[in-house]
Amino acid sequence: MAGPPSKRIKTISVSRPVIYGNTAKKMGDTRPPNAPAEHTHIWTIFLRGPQNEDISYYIKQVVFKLHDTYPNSTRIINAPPFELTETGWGEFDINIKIHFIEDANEKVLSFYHRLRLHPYDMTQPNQEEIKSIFYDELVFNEPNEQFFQILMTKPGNLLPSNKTDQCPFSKQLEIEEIDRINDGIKEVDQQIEELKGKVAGKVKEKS
Amino acid sequence: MSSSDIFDVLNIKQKSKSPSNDSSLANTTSSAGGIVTGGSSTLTSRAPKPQVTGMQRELYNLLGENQPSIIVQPTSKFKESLKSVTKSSPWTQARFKANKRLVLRHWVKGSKDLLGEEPQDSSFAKYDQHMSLPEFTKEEYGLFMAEPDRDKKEDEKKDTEKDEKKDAGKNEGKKPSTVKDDKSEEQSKEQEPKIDENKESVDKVLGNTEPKGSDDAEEKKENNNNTNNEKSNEVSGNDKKETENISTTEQANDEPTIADNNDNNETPEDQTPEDQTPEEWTYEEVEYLFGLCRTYDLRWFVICDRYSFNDIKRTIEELKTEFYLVSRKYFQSKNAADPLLASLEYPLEKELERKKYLERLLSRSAAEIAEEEALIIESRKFEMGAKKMLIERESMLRLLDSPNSDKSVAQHLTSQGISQLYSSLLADKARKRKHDATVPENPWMKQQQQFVQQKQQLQQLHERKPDVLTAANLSTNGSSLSSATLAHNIKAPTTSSSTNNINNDGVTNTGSDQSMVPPPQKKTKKQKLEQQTAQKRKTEVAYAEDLLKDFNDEEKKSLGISMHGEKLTPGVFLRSTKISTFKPALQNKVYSVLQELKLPVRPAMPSKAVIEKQEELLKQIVVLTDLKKSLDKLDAEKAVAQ
Repeated sequence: MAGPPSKRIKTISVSRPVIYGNTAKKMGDTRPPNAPAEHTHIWTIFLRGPQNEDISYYIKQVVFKLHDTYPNSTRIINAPPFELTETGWGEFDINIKIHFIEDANEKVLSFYHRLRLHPYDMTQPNQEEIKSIFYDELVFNEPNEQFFQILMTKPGNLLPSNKTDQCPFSKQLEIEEIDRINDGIKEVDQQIEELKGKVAGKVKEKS
Repeated sequence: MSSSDIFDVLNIKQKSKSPSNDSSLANTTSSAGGIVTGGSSTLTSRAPKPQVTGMQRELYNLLGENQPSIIVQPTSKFKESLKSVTKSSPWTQARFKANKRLVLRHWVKGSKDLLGEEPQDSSFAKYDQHMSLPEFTKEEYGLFMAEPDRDKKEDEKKDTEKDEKKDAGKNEGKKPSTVKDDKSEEQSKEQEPKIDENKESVDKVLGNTEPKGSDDAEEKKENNNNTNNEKSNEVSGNDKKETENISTTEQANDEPTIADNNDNNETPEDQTPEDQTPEEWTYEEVEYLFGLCRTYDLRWFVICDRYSFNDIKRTIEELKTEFYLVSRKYFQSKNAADPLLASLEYPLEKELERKKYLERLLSRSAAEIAEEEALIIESRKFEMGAKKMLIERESMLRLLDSPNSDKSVAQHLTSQGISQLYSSLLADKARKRKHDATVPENPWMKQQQQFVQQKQQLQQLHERKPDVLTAANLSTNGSSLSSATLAHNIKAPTTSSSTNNINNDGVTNTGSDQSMVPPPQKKTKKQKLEQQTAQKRKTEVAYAEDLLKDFNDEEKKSLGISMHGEKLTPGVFLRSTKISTFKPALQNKVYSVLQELKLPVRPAMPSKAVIEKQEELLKQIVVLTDLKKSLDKLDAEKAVAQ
């Protein structure tokens, strides 16, 4: 391997798709033994690949920082699956910190996820399981060479071609998304043209 | 009298300074002014004093011991008299011909021998040009005036009836009594347009040649008349001195006399002018009019003023109409296809109208003029306001139409490209700002700015030279570098391409192209840095490309690799965090527009392609909100105006 490990490859960025979010369920009779009495929900927060593929080859550990009222609120997950199941009664922001492997020599990536326990969508009132899942991409801009080689070992950017119940995030959805935005752009353009005409008319009127 | 004498008289004891002084004092006192020079000489020997003589010396002596610390010498001198080595050139008062007859004197450079005794033509004689107006005899006049309707028709249908017209012209030419006569007249007319100096000789030639071949008695008579006229002119010319030019007077004399002669000849056939109504034009009157025109060079007001033909009152318009009508017909008969014929049209109606307008304009009262002025100023104010508005609008629209940066960034990857982009952006900004500033345009301000800029440039030109020198002295990086800077400095003002573009980084803040040149040392550093980064970037790109050469596009995509030219900070980030954000107020508006479009604020799937699209959308939305704002502003202004 050429050069020192910290040398970054310029002008290249590598992206890896991830899914994070939480699922929540109302607790019925099957309560975990140590759950406090006031807790009504059982939820799971997770970070994984879109198709549940292995992401541990570049992620060393994931830290979930829960609300301070939880006992030892900083939960460190060192091995996949990077997920945490807890019980609770309220929604709060969970800070997710991703630590990458040593070779990556990257800083910790931190972001927040708002825990969701209740269905906002009232059209389906009797939802068994609440889901709040987001798709995002981890972009390694100008990774160092070592890390680049590691990333190159697996085609991590693959997405399923079609939507499934298990994994809605797919090439299909991407295309749909792009189409939607394109429609939006078209409409905005139309409005712009209209307004431009109006402004020009007004200006003419003035002068 | 010396000072010591006065001291003596006043019984003042002089301060003795040196024995020599005492002795001199004794000497002077004994001589009692007799040997003044001795005393003064000792005085001068004591202190360096200019040698003075005469009255001045006496005055110095009066000063005695209290000599002025500074001796004021008369330094003012008169301007030195001019010492020229060359000989003065001779000037002579030579005679010259002011015109054909008048001889005056003026000063000319050159000796008398050189110029000669003969009076020379004035150097301004060539400017004494006159119009050549058509001449015609009564027959001709009758001929070409006889068919006014046809002429007019021809005038109108010039193109279609050309041939017919030509025939008519021929017929016209053949109608007169003899062919000879016609020819000679034509000849004379052909000569006519020549300048007036030739005129006389031409007339003479005609007078000499024509009688030989002519059988016609009338023709002879006419020629005789001509010669007679010339003779009489020579006699009567002296009486006509009040007119400025002899040639014109000759002609002026010529024409009326011919007319008179003709009149005499043909009175039995022709009616006298007195019998006619004043509106009718006789040949004689036309001839008279043309004569006047010739005399006064078509100065119509003079002509109108002098016009007195059988007590017929004619307005200037009438004269003009007749003149142009006759000339048109005349030239039409000469050459019907003459392209200049159209210029002989005299639009009587328009002229009258024009005069009416002028009269009205000149007969305005003071109050009316004042009111008009006030109105003009008022309208100017409005115009200014409107202009200001318009400029504002334009700048707004330009802002909206500003080129979006979706072009490839590849061209800005090199250092040159970046500096170019930078300078162009800066120039753009400057232009926009300038636009705002110039709303109430002040020409003097502009001028002044120009001057200031020029001055700056001049200063820099001066400064550049020492800069180069210091650069050569100070450069510690070796001779090669210093020579490079030198070369650069010399090149800088001449080359506008690559070197200057690099310079622009430091330069553009002053606005002008080759203004301030930063100190060479600093510049070279900067340049070096730029070059280095460019070099680095190049190698990086090459390296990255080398790394990726094994992958095809599909593989790259599946591996999630992408090349980018942007300068992003290295490190990891979430794609969704790169969605652009705006100021709070704008952000809210953007969100509301997104809501209208039923699009989420955060795309459900922020992949690379989606984010790019989203960015495009956001940009357009910002444009939209801007437009909305400006429209609202316009509406408000309208409401205020109402």
